[in-house]
Amino acid sequence: MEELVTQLVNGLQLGAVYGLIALGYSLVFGVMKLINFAHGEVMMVGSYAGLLAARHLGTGFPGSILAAMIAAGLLGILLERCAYYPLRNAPPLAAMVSALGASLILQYGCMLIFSADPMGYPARFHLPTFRLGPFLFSGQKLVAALVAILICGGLSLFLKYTPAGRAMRAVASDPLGAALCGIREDRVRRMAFFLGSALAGAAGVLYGAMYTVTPLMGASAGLKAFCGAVVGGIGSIPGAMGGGLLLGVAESLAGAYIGAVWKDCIAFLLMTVVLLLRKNRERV
Amino acid sequence: MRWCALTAAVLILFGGCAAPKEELRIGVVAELSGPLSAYGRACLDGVRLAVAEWNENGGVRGKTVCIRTADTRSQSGEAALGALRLQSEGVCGIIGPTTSTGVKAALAAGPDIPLISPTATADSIGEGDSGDWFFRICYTDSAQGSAMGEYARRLGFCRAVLLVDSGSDYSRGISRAFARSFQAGGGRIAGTEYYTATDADFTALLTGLSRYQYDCIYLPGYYAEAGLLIRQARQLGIDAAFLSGDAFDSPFLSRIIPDPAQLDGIYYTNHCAPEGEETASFARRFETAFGYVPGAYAILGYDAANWLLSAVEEGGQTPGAIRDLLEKSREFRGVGGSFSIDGEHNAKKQVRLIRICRGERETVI
Repeated sequence: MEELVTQLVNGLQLGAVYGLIALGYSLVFGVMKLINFAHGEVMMVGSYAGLLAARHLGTGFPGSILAAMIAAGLLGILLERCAYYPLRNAPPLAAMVSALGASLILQYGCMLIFSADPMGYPARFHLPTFRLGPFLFSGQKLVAALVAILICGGLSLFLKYTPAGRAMRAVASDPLGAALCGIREDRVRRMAFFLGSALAGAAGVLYGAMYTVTPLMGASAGLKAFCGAVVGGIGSIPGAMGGGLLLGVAESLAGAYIGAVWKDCIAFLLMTVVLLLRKNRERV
Repeated sequence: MRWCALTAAVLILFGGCAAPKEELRIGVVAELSGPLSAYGRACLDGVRLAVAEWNENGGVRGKTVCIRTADTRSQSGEAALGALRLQSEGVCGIIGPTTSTGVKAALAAGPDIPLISPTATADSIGEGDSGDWFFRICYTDSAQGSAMGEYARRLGFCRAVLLVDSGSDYSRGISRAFARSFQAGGGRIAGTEYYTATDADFTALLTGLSRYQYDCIYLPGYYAEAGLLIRQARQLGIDAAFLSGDAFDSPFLSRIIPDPAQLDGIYYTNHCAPEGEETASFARRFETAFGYVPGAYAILGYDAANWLLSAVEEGGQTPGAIRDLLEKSREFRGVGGSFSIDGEHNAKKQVRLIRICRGERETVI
């Protein structure tokens, strides 16, 4: 029983970080109807940016997250400018291939700069684990989950109550209508890219501090978050968070009770089942 | 006339540093990029130092030694291609790759020149025909695992949990040998759990260990994921000793586990001891040349190159003659300890036990 609760909490905390990455996928998809396959790599670059800030500027969690968000956000704008904007009138497949290319360039570019050796955040980022009654909590993951939930909440409020957020939702639901109302679509797209990428950057710091930073870290985390976003109904903000949480819990429970080797297999099987069950309600 | 000029230009461009007569080529196939690059680069630097020293002393049989490299990018296919390319470039022998998977791929390409791996430890390498040209100057996994089983008993551990990387021959082979010798010495295997190297989160696995009673964990994995696993274990309050193999010989381990307190209680078997007069003098020369402290991979790369070049110096003119000389070699004194070659082309040498204590590595046995 105690182990079950510990594993559940574990999964929820891990899922919150997946959810944070999934938010970026959803945000960009909602506005541009484009699956940004380079999103995991944006997260990886954010992770390196946070690491560099921690090493050279001596920042803690907040400073590193800020640095990562700025770096990743700017990278997002650059990607939009170079890889997607020129293809905006091309068939969607062209943009997807362009995204895959961008992700490879980022992976191997970072390998050239930082080498493939895994790097770790400094010791001050590794928070201790604490016991609450019979339950074990990882301070590290708790912080990650809290930051993820805060950012998710902030994003929902931003989309709901600010003019910029409203513009973004307008473009998502009807680009032509939004343009007729005087909303500048290009600007909204760039903003969606900046925001989505900044979220990935924040996730990069949380993920990198929990684990290690490598040029290929974005591939697996990005894939998992992408599945989370799809299961939650891509384009939907609470859905992305929910999908991420579901994946995290599935992974954690499968790892504990079936065997660590099986955990990805089981988690993705579960995702497939969820998709099959709700296929009729899919809005995409 | 134009063709002559073109051919001449091509020859000058691709002919390399000197005319073939005065140059002896030695090949290095290693993991110079990709996830295993820490091993391959260290090995290449060791070879570089050995070659530089031979050249300073007049070369081998009057010829200047020249290194040809092939990067496997940590992938098997590239290792096979690299071995073939180096052979076609006329190298006298190949050093590397450093990992067992890479060596198997390189041998499968069927090179007809000696291939010396400094550090590939899998028992299954060199079975069958491919073994004719294969040599290694390290112990095998079964020797390493059994030695650790014995040392673990000597250190006073009674109940061990095995954590095995399900996708790695190295991890599976060495943990089997460990279990055999640990049980033969009176120890008990409390349980075995499997993980995958691509994982980042081992918390679920580690929390589950609480159902066993154990005093040490045998974790023969590569440093990247094993380091992460140990860090997560320490954060969960698991303070049992971690025992491992030579893959822990990497300065990067302390980058993944920056807190020295969490590194305490790690023991691993290794090819050579960091202390000792000869090692210290080598380490000084190495550090002046490359700016970092050499680990076992660099030391064995250095030894492998010296061993190959001294066989050539002794009169190995053809690949076959070099092989015969290598086979006959007894008590070769390398920086990483003396070794003799047995009938299966494996080195017989002592397995060292290293302990990490307050961030420093010290030799226990």
